[in-house]
Amino acid sequence: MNLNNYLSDRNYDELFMANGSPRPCSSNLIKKIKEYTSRQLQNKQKIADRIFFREGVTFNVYGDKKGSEKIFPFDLIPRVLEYQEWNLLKNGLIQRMKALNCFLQDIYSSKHILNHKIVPEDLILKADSFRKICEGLEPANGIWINICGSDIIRDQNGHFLVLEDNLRCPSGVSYVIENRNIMKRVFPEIFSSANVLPVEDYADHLRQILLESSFRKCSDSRVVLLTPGPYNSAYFEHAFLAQKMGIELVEPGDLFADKDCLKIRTTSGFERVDVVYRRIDDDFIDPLVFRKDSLLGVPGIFELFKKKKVSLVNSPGTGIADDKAVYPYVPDMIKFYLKEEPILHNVKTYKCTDPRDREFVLENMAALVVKAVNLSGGYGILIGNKATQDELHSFRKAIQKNPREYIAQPIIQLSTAPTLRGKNIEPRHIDLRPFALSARSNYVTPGGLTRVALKEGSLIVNSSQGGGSKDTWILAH
Amino acid sequence: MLSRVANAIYWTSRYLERAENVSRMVYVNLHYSLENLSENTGDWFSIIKASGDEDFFLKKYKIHSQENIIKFLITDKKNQNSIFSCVTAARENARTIRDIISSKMWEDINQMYWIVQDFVKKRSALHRPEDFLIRIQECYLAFLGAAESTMNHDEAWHFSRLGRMVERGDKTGRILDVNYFILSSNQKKEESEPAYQALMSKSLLKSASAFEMYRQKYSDITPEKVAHFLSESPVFPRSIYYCTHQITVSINAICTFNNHPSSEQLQEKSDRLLRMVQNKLEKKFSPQMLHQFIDEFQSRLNELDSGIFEIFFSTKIPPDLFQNGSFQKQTSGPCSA
Repeated sequence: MNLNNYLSDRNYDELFMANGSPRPCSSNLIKKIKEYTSRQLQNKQKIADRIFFREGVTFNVYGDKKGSEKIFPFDLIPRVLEYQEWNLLKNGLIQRMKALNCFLQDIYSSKHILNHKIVPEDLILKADSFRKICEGLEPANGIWINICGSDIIRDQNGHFLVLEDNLRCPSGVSYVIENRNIMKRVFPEIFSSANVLPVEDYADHLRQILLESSFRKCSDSRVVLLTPGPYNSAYFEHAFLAQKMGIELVEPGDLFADKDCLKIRTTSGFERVDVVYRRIDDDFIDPLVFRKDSLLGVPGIFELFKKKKVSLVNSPGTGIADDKAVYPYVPDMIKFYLKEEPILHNVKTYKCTDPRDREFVLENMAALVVKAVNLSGGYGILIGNKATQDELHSFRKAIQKNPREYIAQPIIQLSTAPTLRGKNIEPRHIDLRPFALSARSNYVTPGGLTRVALKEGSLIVNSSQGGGSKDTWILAH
Repeated sequence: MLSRVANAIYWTSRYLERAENVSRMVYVNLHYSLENLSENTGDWFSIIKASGDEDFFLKKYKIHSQENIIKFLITDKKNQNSIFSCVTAARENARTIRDIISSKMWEDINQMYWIVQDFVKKRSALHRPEDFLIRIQECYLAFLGAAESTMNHDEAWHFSRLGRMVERGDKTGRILDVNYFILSSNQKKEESEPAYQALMSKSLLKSASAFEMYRQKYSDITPEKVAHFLSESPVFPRSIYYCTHQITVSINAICTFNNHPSSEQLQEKSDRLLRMVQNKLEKKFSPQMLHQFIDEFQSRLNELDSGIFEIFFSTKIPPDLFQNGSFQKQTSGPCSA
């Protein structure tokens, strides 16, 4: 495979330096890849795709009834990070998660951060994602976010930045483990002498923090994973994690909120449940307190959580902390609660609620990314330099009407990584979603999910928008 | 274990067994139709009769050609007992219990599903479906091997085996009932020829995957001996007696595992079924008696099936809603296609 013409324009490339030679972390890998012909690599890619299908590592496409199963495209060429770089990232993520947990504990009780005017009171208390009903909640260990999946990008200078936090039901970790598995099956020779840190023990750590979240201090707490069911797009992941942890995968109909404990219906009658790792959004989890029309929920489950009879992981109410309009304040939260300087920085963000910022956004929209604050999955995003006049116009109107609902950021050229496209290897933009866990102790899975925008030049990596993923290597030092 | 999971694993098993039975019956019929003595489609129609879908077929297809019958049995999406429907339903059920069955079991089911999907897409495939039918059977055998060797033999496993044995006993009964009636009635002259009878009996044995094992026990092939072998052999794994016995074993095991307060009722029901099979088999039976015997066997089996549902799968819904009135209809579970 000839990589001499691999060009990464003026972007930061993860595996190659600006002068075209491999980075120290990737020189070994690049040397090995060069030993293969393009056809050999394409064959390996085909085998990998076939395994994904056979194992049923597929996701459902909404609104597409026939042939509604797709595999999440997987790219054969791994993304590599040095240990030192990773360590910085890891510490930054743990710090951030701690601060976000303090923030949630604070705004749902004494509200110091609002009283000190570090974060505007209206921004929080008037937000839809602020759940008044969660005031006074005391989740186990004081931890609201047990599982965090923040999205990390690298800018043109090679600096890591946090693009957004996912604190409700972050998904994708099953692909981290499966990608590695399949890499090891179809491309074992490429691992030799690379010293890649394993990712497989994520499920053990997850199980541990779930057990630590039980209110009942005993060794036999029963933990279940609550899924909306097999038609949910992340169902594969739900089943995968339940199986790896050896806990039961339950649907809402299996659960029943009794007077003072949550029960599941078994072949021997009803049995008690202590911890629910729920993969159903707040809105749908309990029709008695959240959306009344939810058919997915378990009536009464929230009340039991409030009475500390059952743990919900992550806690309801975390949505306010990953609200994109609250995101600009996370560095201030780190300073306020932890008295530390943030290790990881945010992307520069213009708040449309601020009159000066708003004016700037309206005038420079073509050079900015505008995001609706409560949408995810690559939806509700306008990339200024690629938008039509009509799109710019409609976003402009929407911002003027509802400034709280929008933020804007400069267009960041995400870093690129070599990606197999047909018979060539070409640069494609990528990001990284590491998974951090927290209960009595903290853990970050080495690496995370590297998502790649497969379309040339595209900056949107979401699977719903034509994104794929790569194996992510952290090299042991 | 969860009631929903028990229900899904039971039905995954039943649907897979059903799909394999249909593919075997169609395969054997295709094999023999290459050199059949008569040109009518009577033999083909007996498969439809055995599946209990006679009325539905007659309503849907004007022409009772071999082609239509094969289409109905393999790819017809409206026929909930076609291979397509059974495999799809099995996979839908298996998807909801991926965390319970082993990865290997899931992969076998998944592979079967994609084989069916590919087959349905090929227009001309129905003309020569033999390879497809063999692949379905092979996948199923791989699945059984995986179930045997890669899964804990616990409560869930027994639910899976229970589903398989209920389905299998039911199918052997149906195959025997329909074919034995044709064989022993000698309606047409050529059908009373010994050569024809032997061929038909062989076909019947092979439909139940029983030919080689039968041969080890009997040297000659007569309709009576075939009927005896398929109903009462204590060692042939598809005989009515064998399946019934395994049903009681699994029910007892499940009741021991889960200690359900009303499990005794169920144990009684399955014991009664076994006793009924034993008693009937001790007498030498005529064709009419065989039909009555299978009739009674199937209605008791359906009663047992409802009992399993009532006690283990549902705790709220009154059981009488789920009684299956006519024994000729096949029952179906959650996620039916």
